[in-house]
Amino acid sequence: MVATEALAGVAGVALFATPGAGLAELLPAVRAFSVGRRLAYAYLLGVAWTAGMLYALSHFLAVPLRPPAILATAAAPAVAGAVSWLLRRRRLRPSTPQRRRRPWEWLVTAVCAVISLAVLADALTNPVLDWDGWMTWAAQARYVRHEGTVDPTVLTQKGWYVSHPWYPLLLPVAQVAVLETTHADWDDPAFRPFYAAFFPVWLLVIYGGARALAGRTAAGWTTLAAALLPVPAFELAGGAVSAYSDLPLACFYGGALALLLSPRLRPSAGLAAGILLAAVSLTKAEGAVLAPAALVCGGLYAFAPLGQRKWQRRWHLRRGPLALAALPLVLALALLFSWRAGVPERFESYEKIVSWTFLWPGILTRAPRIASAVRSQMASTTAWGFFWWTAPLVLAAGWRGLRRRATVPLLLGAAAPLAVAWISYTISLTPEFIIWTSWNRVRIQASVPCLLLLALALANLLRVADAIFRRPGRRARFQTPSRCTPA
Amino acid sequence: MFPRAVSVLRVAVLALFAASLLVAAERAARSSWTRIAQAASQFGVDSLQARRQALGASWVAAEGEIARAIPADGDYLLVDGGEERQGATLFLRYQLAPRRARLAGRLSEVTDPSQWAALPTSSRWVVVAYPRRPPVLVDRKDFARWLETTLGRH
Repeated sequence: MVATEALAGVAGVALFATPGAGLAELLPAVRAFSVGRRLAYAYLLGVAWTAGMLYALSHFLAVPLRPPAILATAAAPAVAGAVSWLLRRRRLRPSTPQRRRRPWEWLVTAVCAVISLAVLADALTNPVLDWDGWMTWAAQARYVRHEGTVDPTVLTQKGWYVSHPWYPLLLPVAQVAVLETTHADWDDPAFRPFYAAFFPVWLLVIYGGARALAGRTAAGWTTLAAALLPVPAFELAGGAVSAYSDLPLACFYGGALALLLSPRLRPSAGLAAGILLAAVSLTKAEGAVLAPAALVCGGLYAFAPLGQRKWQRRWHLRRGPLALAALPLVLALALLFSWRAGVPERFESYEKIVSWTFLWPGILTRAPRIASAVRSQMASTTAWGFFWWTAPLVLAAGWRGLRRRATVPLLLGAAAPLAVAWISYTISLTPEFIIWTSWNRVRIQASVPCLLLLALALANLLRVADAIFRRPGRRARFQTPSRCTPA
Repeated sequence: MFPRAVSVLRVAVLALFAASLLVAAERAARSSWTRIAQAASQFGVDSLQARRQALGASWVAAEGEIARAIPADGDYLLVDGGEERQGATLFLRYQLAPRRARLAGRLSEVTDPSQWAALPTSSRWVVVAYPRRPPVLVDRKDFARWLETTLGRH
């Protein structure tokens, strides 16, 4: 790496973090987050806003994807956020002093920081070396950049050799934004830190969500477990060191779910979740299913096993924010389907490798074959360490911690990517090969809700351990947040 | 007595989980150290040199030669010199983008390039992608002769 290339990569990250910070300032629910969680959501909102708006402007209004449009799109929320902050500053009261961190919290922070630094170092040192980066995302970005439009001729004309031309282009557009703004050469990997930044963002989303649900200690354990997993950080086929879209999808999806499952869903939280869900639908093909599924999970939160009057009141309070969440998603889906209508060979690549005739009764008869291939993937200690050996034990032993209103929506949120994958394996002509190449990535997509469930179970086990080892007369150390009372 | 035993068992699960984190920490430390040390040792190495190190100098030179011959808004016919799952064409297509490719088939199946009449004549160049070998650029009108000399085909 040379200093100028490293600076260009870091500037690429700032290109999204800056408008995201503006949006975070404008959305009171996000503004109220702790610094780390706010930073994470700022990055996600910045990518969703900047790349999503450029995608729409290019497709609907033929605005060229060049620095003037990119910088104007990024600057709008940044300026609005700065004005809001200046106006608000007069009314700001001195902030209450934050609770001091304990030594183990510094240790977890240090571990996460070192692994994030290693991911960034890899991104700054090596060229794109991963399969999907070559095949789809980075290749599409080059075509889009050359013609300055999300409708390049390789996608809109028949006969060109393009893999999966119907895959949505949010991340290639984000790559183009970085490369154009930094005036990078064609072979310059300046966009790679943009992907690497999703790793610390993922950890902060997990920590923030777990802390709100299960308290600081359980959140610390959960985040440490996530940071130490080999696949999300260092796996060349889908980890943060690659140019795959699965970790970004996990961040958008998990970040939106965590927002939608807040006990008191504010309108601004609903809107922020909606912007992230719009990004989910524009990041990967399966996002068009996962985003509505997340919205349904957010709605289900109101229907906890409570008295009828209570859930009616809760639904009444949540339906407004949920409608605000649905709005950006509907707009994004309209953009996706309009854009896809202009891609003539949109499903050809899939028609060669799947057959819907397998769906029934294959969903039952193929299940043992698929389960066997999946089991061998999850048992791999090279990919996942001992996580999938111990996490089910934690969930079983800490089941009392799962008696929460958020549990069922989280379970459904974790199941949605797996269900999409299971159907695609069922209809595949070569299921073992597809499982081999994709199952770990599906686990990444479902990682945030899975880890939030783990945090709930861990919180329960930590309470048990505290009760056993506590000296008589000493106060209990591990308490879940009071607003998250069991259902 | 029984609830106490269950509680101890649950704490044992927590201890097992903590032990699994310790094992994972050792591996994460090694992976992180490798990457940070590599970045430190490569400081001053630009992206072109990094590509030469990762892909091989001869590969990068061949790709550069092809990129100079075909203009950025040009197109070419791409022939796969390996097996489909080896992905040589995917990799080369990315490296040569934004030049547009039309897939002409696998080298082992190309017996008569005159059958390429269905492919547009605008593509002047044929590029053969190999796994773990530099790509080859051939003028389309010379491709039949190139096939004969390279593969001994008639």
